[in-house]
Amino acid sequence: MLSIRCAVATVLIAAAIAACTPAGAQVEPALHRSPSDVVLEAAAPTPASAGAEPGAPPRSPALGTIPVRSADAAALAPAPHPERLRIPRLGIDMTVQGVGIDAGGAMELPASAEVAGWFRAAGNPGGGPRAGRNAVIAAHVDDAVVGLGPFARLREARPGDAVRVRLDTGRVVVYRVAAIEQTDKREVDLAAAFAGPDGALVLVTCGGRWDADVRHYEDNVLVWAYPEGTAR
Amino acid sequence: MRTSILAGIAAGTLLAAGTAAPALAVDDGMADLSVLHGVPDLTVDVYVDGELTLDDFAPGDLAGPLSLAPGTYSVAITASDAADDSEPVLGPIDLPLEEGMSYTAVAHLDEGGDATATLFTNDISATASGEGRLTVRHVAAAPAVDVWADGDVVFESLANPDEVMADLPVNTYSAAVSVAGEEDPVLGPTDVAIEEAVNTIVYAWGSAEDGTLAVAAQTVATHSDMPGAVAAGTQGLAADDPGVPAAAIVIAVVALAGAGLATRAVLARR
Repeated sequence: MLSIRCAVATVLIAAAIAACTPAGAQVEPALHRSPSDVVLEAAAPTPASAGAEPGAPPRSPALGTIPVRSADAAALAPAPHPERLRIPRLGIDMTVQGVGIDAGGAMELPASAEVAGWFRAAGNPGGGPRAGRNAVIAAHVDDAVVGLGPFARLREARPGDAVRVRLDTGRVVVYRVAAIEQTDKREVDLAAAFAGPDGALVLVTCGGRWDADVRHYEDNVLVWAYPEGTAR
Repeated sequence: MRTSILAGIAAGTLLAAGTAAPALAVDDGMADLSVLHGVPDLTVDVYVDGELTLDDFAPGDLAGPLSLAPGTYSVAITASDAADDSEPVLGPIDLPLEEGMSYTAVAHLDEGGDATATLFTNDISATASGEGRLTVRHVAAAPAVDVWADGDVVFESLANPDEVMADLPVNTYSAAVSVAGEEDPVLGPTDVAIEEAVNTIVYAWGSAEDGTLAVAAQTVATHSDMPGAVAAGTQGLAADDPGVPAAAIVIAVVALAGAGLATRAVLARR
């Protein structure tokens, strides 16, 4: 029985890894060279409708106010990144590191429950091209070294609690807790947390029942906070 | 005991299997358009479909991104004191914008120094985790150039109005541009930060002959893969119903080891 279960486990691991490798994953930086897509000549004036597609849906520019900025090299500077997270009422004060996705498709997390991970490919409290998108910071609820980590107290968050994210420039972005959610991992809507357009800061950890057989918690705990001064 | 730990690793892997649907960089059903002014010494007005859209648009400025319904837009560029778009200095030109795409329209000089415009499509396909994208576009009145990063030529002989791109590990690179085949930079070196799931687009614009060569830059979010799980606990210490927490398992393992029943591997794990 033992050897059968081990063999099954091995096959499942292999299958999971195979299934999770992104098709477009690139080991080497890919070098592409292409001519620009369309070269538009400075043509003599023509009727504005010349290029309109027949049957194209009616549309209006309705452009409103258009953001204009200098495109000088200052734009090459990276947007500030989160480096510290504090929730004073809960006594939470943690270093924050940037993280990505692990080989299994899950969010990478710092090994220590005392360090939080900010998901780099979602929103950034410091701005940049994803300013205004949801940002996600997660941490292990516990680990083998420190036992319970600071995020074990996330469940005690209350609406209105201040969440302070310090950026590597020293600026602090303040959020206010709006909702606390504990949802079974099989049902939790991670897309809403990671890909939402609402500028929320979503703090994520684990909770609920501990399944000792598979060594994971059954639930995710999510705390939804929004920039201070925005009504929710 | 070992059996359940192995099974647990497998189950944990399965739980984490697969990523969620990617976060799209462009609003559903729309197209994104930015406009870069790369013609030196010429402040202009920009008309879109006959309406004044950008007033007093200055060289080196970047407008947008605008989220637009897909379709073909007619753009005319006039002197900044024009009353309407009847006497454009450039255009009207048609910009065909497709759903779900990101574009940058650039008014610039061709290699010979005449004003022209190019509609570039920005590559917003997802990058691998830990990588970002660098795009370099030559829109200057200048001969072909080599692009350098950290002291090596990474793109050879890039000519107006072409572009090159590569996905690179997240880092800051020292970038420079030289005339093709030469070593002295005509632009840079300047630090370029490559960020995860971001396409950093660098333009060489202006005129070599007039001494107005300059660097412009924009950043565009790419699509990004989202995690399929957040497995954020390893010990069971925070459980609502602790069951048998990991600490108890460790104690049991130690007890078994004391009884001579546990393997060396388990001891090493301890």
